[in-house]
Amino acid sequence: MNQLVFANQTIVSGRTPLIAARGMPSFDLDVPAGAFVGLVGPSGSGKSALLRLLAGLDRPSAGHLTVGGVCLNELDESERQSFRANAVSIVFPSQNLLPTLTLQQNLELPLLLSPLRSSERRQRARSALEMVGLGPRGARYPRELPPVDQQRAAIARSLLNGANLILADEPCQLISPSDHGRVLDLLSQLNSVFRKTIVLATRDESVVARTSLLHRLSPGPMRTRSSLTEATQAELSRQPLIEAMSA
Amino acid sequence: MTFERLIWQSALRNKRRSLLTALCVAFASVGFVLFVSRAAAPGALAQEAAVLGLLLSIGLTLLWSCWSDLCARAPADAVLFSLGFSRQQLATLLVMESVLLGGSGALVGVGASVALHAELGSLRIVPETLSLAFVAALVASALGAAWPAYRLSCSELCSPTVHDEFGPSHERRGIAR
Repeated sequence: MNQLVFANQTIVSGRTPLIAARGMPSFDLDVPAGAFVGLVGPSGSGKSALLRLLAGLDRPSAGHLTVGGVCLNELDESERQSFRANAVSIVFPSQNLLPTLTLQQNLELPLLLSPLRSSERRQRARSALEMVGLGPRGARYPRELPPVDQQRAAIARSLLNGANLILADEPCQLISPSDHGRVLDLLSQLNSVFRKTIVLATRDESVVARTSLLHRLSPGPMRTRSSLTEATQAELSRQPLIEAMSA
Repeated sequence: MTFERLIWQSALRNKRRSLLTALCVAFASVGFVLFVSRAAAPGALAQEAAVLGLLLSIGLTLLWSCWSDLCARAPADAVLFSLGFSRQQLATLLVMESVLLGGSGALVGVGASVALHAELGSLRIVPETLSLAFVAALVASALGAAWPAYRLSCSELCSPTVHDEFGPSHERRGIAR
């Protein structure tokens, strides 16, 4: 993803009638580079559908979807594959890691598509694991780790392909509430230290307390609109949680 | 970590299917070698190899097309797809996995045939027969996985990533296609 594209401070803009056609809301969504955005809504409100569209996993049948200056509507299958490999990372609620690979091998997966040597892939995966405090557990299999560490490893993997946009779909859904903080700390760290743009979708209001911008989604034909301008960014330092839009 | 490791891990993920595939190919190879080696006319080898390959392909296609098998591999395929692997690469992984298992089964089958040959002295097993059995098993394994791989490449790969409050949706509905 070209960093220069972020100069316009808009990395995501979407009008997705596809979602409306499925009985879900349509969106106008602008997310500035480096933001930590929360999408909150009940099941069926289109959070995951929106994330899958942004991740290039689904193709919008209509509307306009731009991520980092790349119009996803215009990409063919191979360009879409390249986009998924380099421009975006997505963390699912569970099953992010292949059970028959060790933690380190799981982290090497996105690097298999790069021209890196095997030793360099190992080194980078090890560094990412150490960064999230899972270095000593690199040789373990996912089943040997608690769900919270599995999620943290999945988030660490998103550092490896160099993507600037990280999409987290209910990252805390299957971990105990006492461990939510560890996952959210890591996401916050990626946002503040590595300047990754993060879009977090969840049903849980408490999970999005740390986000800098919040969008509420509701099932049914409604329309939301929100954008974060420089003025509102300045306001963010005083008010960490902004409910930008509601029905 | 290499693509080969990725293929192996995929084979290990579904042990029952992998074992069935290898056993199926091993028995077919033994059957082929013993059948061909029963003082048959030398020119019949190619035809018999073709028949073996065809029957084995059909059997493996049925085995690999099992709904439960495609469902079982769906979450891992969804993860790989989201990481940037293409549909073609995922289909190739499936075919390579089948060839790997088929090759392993064929090696066991050929080895068993040689062992049986030592026991049953009346058979006349020549290296050409063993080679042909091995090649036929590899071709049949690739052909057997072709249809499931095609179905996989056409399926909605990210479907298993859809969750709701009851957990992964594909575990209740099966993968969408």
